[in-house]
Amino acid sequence: MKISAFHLMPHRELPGDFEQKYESVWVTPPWHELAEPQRVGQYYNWTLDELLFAARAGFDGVCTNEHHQNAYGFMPSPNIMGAVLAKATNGSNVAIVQMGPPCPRRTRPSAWPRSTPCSIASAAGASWPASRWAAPWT
Amino acid sequence: MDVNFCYGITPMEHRERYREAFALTLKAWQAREIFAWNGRYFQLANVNLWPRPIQQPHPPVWVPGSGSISTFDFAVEHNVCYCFLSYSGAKAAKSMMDGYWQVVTDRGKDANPYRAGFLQLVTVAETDAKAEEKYAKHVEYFYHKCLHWPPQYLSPPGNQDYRSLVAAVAKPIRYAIDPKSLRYRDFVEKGYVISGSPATVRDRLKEEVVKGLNVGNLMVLLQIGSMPHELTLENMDLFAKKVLPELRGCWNDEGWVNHWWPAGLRDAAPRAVPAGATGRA
Repeated sequence: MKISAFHLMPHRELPGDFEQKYESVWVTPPWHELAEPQRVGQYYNWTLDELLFAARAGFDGVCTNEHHQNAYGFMPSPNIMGAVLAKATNGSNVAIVQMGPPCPRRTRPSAWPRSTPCSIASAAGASWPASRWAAPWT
Repeated sequence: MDVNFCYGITPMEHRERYREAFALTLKAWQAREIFAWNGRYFQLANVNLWPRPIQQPHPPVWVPGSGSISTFDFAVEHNVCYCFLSYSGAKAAKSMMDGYWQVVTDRGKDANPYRAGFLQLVTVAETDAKAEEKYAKHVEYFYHKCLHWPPQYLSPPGNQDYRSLVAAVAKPIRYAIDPKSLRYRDFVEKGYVISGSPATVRDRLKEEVVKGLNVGNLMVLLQIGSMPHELTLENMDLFAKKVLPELRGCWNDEGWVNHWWPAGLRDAAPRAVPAGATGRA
């Protein structure tokens, strides 16, 4: 059995009347009314610290994921998060589960290398074969 | 949802793009020679990846799905791990995952539990009552606010393949319950969230998720909605100390190989992240 820690990196402080006042948490939530960049920067730090805590606590893997224009899932680019986790867990047995590199939605080949998950495995060092790829929500 | 409504790619095109990108990625990872790719969506004159993955023949691949029958077929045909990123627990997923395992059987593949991944929301405390006290409001925040969107966003034209559309019309389980009408105890009772003491959580995970759905690659969501940082660490710590060790041995007695986990880590005991590798902000 392999057990991995997943994280959505949600907005943790939506207003109490959010669901009455706004149409949707996804696609149309108005950033300027609901979020503040420095606070969201704190969400990034908390999220990475929580996943690294899980990595140290003995989970087999840590998972990133991908959402766009979404207040409950703040990771538009999982490869960036995965790269941080790969570096910080180098030398351990923790796998990185990369959910949703955005290759199918890129239209120009120039964007392609960024979306290939193999870059994570390679960045992680010679003894640590821990990248895994899963593609977007179908 | 975002690919369609934000990027303007229609669902049917997205499915085709996904499949082409999947084929291109798998080929690029494995090809020994430079090749040209002249696809419908991607045209590349010289595919010659630098750098290459460490894992051979390629990194393990998981394909997430949410019940489309064509994705079951795709996952089984390509021998990948099908993973259901569910927010509504194992009870609601049972008939869907049974559908996946039926496709696995029909296509002559073994019922290796590592062919399946599943995401479960989990909160752990010293007792069931403590769990309610600590986590109820964060669980309700998640279902009432984080999952707030108009239902039509889930079904843009072409989102479901035809067979899935027919199945959904015949048995509309996914749209049957409005989570905004439910409270913490309902979410726990229905298994959307597995919450309680370490023993409660362990038993429910084993029975409902691991054995109930035949899952070898379990993912747990331990930071839920508005849950603050320190409480998240508490939840993770308790899960890691009291629940995880009791689940790790599941399936060991059946001898399955997790082909969907990096080969070098399949039998690995957890090894601590080296000191200095990480730093708290």
